[in-house]
Amino acid sequence: MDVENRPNDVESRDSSVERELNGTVSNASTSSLDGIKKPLPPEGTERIKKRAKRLSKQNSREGVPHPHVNGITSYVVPQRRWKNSRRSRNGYGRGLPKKGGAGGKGVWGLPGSELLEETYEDQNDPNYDSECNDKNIELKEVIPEMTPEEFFKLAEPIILEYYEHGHTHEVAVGLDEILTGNLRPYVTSVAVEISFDHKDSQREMTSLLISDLYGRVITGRDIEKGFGILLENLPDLILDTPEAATLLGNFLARAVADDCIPPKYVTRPDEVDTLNEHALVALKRADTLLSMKHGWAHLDNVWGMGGPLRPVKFITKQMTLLLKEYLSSRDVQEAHRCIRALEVPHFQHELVYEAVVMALESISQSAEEAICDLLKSLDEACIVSPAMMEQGFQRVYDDMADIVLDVPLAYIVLDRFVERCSHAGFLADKVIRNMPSRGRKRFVSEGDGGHIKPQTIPLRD
Amino acid sequence: MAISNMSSGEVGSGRQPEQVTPAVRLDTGVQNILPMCPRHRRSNTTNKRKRDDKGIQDCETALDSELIHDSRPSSPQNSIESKNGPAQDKEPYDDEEPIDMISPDGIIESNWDEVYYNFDDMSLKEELLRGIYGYGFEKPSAIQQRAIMPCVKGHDVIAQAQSGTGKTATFSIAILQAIDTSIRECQALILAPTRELATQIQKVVLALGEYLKAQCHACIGGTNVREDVRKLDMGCHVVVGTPGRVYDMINREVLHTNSIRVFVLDEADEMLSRGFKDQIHDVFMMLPRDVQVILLSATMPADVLEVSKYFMRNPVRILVKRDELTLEGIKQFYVNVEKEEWKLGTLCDLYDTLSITQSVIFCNTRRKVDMLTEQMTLKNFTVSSMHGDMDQRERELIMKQFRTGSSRVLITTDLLARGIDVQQVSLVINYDLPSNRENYIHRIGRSGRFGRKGAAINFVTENDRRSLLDIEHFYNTRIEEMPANVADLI
Repeated sequence: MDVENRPNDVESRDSSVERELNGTVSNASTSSLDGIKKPLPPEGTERIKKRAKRLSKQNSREGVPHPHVNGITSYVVPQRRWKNSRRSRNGYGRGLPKKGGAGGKGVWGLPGSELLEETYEDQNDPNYDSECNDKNIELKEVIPEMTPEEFFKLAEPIILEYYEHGHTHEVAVGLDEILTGNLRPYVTSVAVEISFDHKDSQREMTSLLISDLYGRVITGRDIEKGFGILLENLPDLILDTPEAATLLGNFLARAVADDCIPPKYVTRPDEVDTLNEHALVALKRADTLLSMKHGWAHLDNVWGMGGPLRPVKFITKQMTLLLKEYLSSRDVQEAHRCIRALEVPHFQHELVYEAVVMALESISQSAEEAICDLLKSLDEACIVSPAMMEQGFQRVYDDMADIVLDVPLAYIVLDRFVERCSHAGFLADKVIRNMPSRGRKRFVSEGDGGHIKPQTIPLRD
Repeated sequence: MAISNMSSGEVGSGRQPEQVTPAVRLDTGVQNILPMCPRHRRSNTTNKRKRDDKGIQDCETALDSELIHDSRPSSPQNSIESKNGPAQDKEPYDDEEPIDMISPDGIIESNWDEVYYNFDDMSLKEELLRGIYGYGFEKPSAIQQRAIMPCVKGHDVIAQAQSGTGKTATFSIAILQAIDTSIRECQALILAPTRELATQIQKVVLALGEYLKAQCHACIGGTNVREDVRKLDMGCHVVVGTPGRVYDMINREVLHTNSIRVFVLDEADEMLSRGFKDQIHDVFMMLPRDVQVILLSATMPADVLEVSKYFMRNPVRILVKRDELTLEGIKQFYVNVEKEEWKLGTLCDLYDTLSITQSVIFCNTRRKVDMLTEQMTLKNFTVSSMHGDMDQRERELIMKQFRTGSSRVLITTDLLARGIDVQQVSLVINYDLPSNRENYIHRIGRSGRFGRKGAAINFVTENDRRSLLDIEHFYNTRIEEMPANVADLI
C-alpha cells in the first residue's frame, strides 16, 4: 500500500473511489466497505481496524510517522519491534471482534447502529424501498371502519363483564373507546343478542343497560335501529333461542316503559309488510304487554323477581311466597320452576329453612307431608344440594329455642317431621343425629324451650 | 319409539367382550335409572332396598352379586371369585357397601362402579393422552373417573354433576377416543344450550384432540352460515351447536348424519328450560338408530328424566352430588376502609404484613385491574395481573407463573379468573365486594375435597356495609372485622 494515501484514507472513505481511479490498490477492508454502505464508523475505529493487518503491511503502516526509518529498517528484523507488543503475531489477528464491535470483517457494526437512520440512500441498493422513500406522497389520517362482526367481538367481553360487576358506567367508558358513529345501533342489538344466551337476571341487567346508555352513548334513534336489526335477524336468532320472539317482545316493551323508544315503534311500526312473521310475534307480544292495565309499572318485573343481584330479604320473601303457593296448589313442577327462576343455588339453605319452619308452624300432617315431598323431589332433581339441605336443617335446629316460643309443640312436630324425612331418604345421617331433642330430663321443665334451669332460682332483689 | 331393552344390552356387551359384568348390569340397571329411588343411602340398606324395589326381587340377586365385586374394583380376589363362580348366596353382602357411597368427592350414586383414578389406566389412544396432559389435566375428577369408561365402551350414559366438575372434558375424551380421525365425516354430534357454551366445548375438543388432528366445528350461524357450510363440507369429525341450529344444518343437508355414532346432550336441563324440547327430538329422529346417547345435566328435573327415558336404552347412571365449593374452614374478615380512595393505602399496608403468603386480589372491572396494577407497580410492589386481551392460554401462563412463586400477588376480575383454579391460593382479597353475590363463593370458596384452609379479606366502604350483611346472610356465614394480628391467622 502506498504510504502517500494514508492521511487521505483516514480522513474520508469516499476518497477510496478516487484511489481506485488513481490505480492504487485498496486493501481488503476498504474494498469491502466500498461494496456495501455501512454506517460510518467513528474516525478512531478506522485506525484500530488497521492494526490487525499482516505483519509486512503493518510494518509499512507503522512506518508512517517515520518514513525515513521505515525505508531503512523494515528489512532488518521486523519481529524485533514486536517483542514487547501484545498484538497477535500471526498476521490475521485472533479473529476476535474489535473493541466496541464496530466495523471490520465479520462484524455487524456498533450494537444498535442498525436502528440509526442511514444518512445516504442508495437507489441501486437491492434493499432500497422505493415506496417508503418516495417523497411525492401525502399521508392522511383514516379511522378504519369496523364491521359489525368485529364490533361484536370487541363488545362481547364488555357486556359479559357487565354481567359480573353491574356498573353501567363502566360499559359506557368501554364502549366509548371502540365506538364509531355508524355502529351505534349495534350496541343495542349486540347487548340483547348476548343476553339471549343468558338468564333472566342478565336480561334484566341488559334492559337496565340500554336505558342507562340512552343519551350517554346511544340515542333513541339508535335503539330503534338496533331493535330493527334484531327484528330482521329474528328467524336466525330463533334457531339458537326458541323463545327469542317473546324475549324480544319483553325487551321492546321494557324499552318503551323506560322511555327509550316511543310507543309508536311498537304500536304502529312503519314497515309492517316487510317484517317477518317472528318479528310480528315479538311486536304483538310487546304491544300486549304495553296495553295491559295498571300502567307500565309491571314491566319493571318483566324479567321476573329473581337473580343474585336482588336484596337477600327480597329473595327470602319470594321463597316464602312460592312455598305458600305450593302448599295451596301442591304443584311440585311449578315450585321447581320458581326455585330455578330465582337463580340462587347457594341460598337454597334459606328455602329449606323456610320450608321446615313452615311445616313446624302449620301443625298439620298434610302440610308436613307436602313439604317433605317437595324437599324430597328437590333432592332427587339435584336442585338443592345435600350440603344446602344440611345447612337449612341445621339452621332450624339452631333456632328451635326461638321457634318453640311461638309454637309450643315445635319439638314434637320437628321430631315427627325429621322422622318422615328420614323415611323419605333424603336426609344425611348427620342431620338426623343432630336433631335437638327437647330434654326430657327432670331438671328441665316443659315450655321453657329446652333451656337448662339453674339449680336454684335466684332471689329477686 | 319403542326400543327393545335386550337388543341394546347386547350391543353394549358386544363391544367389550372382556368385560364380565356389563350385560348383567345393564339388564338390572333398568330400575336404577327411573326416578332415582333414594335407595342405598345408609350403609345398612339391604332391607331398605328390598322395600323400595318391590317386584324386581328376581333381579336382586344378580344386582347384588355385581355390587359385591363392583364396589371393590381394586380387589382382585373378588372379581376372580365372581368370574369363576357366580353362584353366591346373599349372606356376604349384608355388610357390603351399597352402590352409592360417601366419598371425599361427595355422594355418588351409580349403577356403574368401575373407577379409574388415572387417565393412564383408561387405555386411551396415545395421542389423546398427550392432548389430555397437554391441556393441563393431571388426574380425572370424580365424574371423569366414573363416566369416561362407560362412554368409551359405547353405553348410553346419564351423568349428573355440578357445573365446573369437568363434564365437558368427560364426554370430549370419550368422543375423541371413539372417533376415527382418518374418516373425514361427522361422527359425533354435541348439543349445547347456548352458542357461548357451544364455542367453549369446541375449544375443549380441539385442545384435547390436538394430537389426534380431530376437527371440531361449532355451528354459530348468524352471518357465518356460509362459513358453516364450507367447514362442514370439508368434513369435521365433531360438530357442536344448539339444537335449533343443528337441526337447521341437517335440513339444509349441510350436515350429514349417517356416520354419527355418538350423540351428546350437554346441560340437558338448561336446554329443556330454554324450550329446545322439540328441536332435540327433531334432531334425534334424524340420527341413525343405534346411536350412542350421552346426557349430562347439573340437575335432574322430571322433564330431563322423561327425555332420558325416551332416547336412551339401559343407560349407565352416574350421579355426583357434590358441592362444588364451600366456605367451610375459611376465615373471612372485613376491613372498613370507609372511602374508595383509601383502599389502595390499606392494600399497601397489608402487603407488608401479608407478603409471606400468596394472594389473589379481586377487582370488579378490568379497568380497575389495570389501574391497580399500575399504581402498585409505581409503588414498587411486585404484582402480576390478568388483562382483558389475554386469551385462555396466556392466562394459564400467568397463573402458572403465579403458582410457581415468581410473583406473590395476582390481580384479576371474576370474568378473567373464570375457569382457572384460583382455589390453590391461601389468601384472597376482595378489593371490591362482588356485585353478584354468587361470585363471592367462586372467589374464595374451596372445593370440599381438598379442605384447604384459607382466608379472605373484604375491603368495605361505607356504601358496601349493606352488601356485606347480605353476603353474610346469603351464605349463612360469619365475616368478622380483621384483627390486628391477622398475619398470625393466615
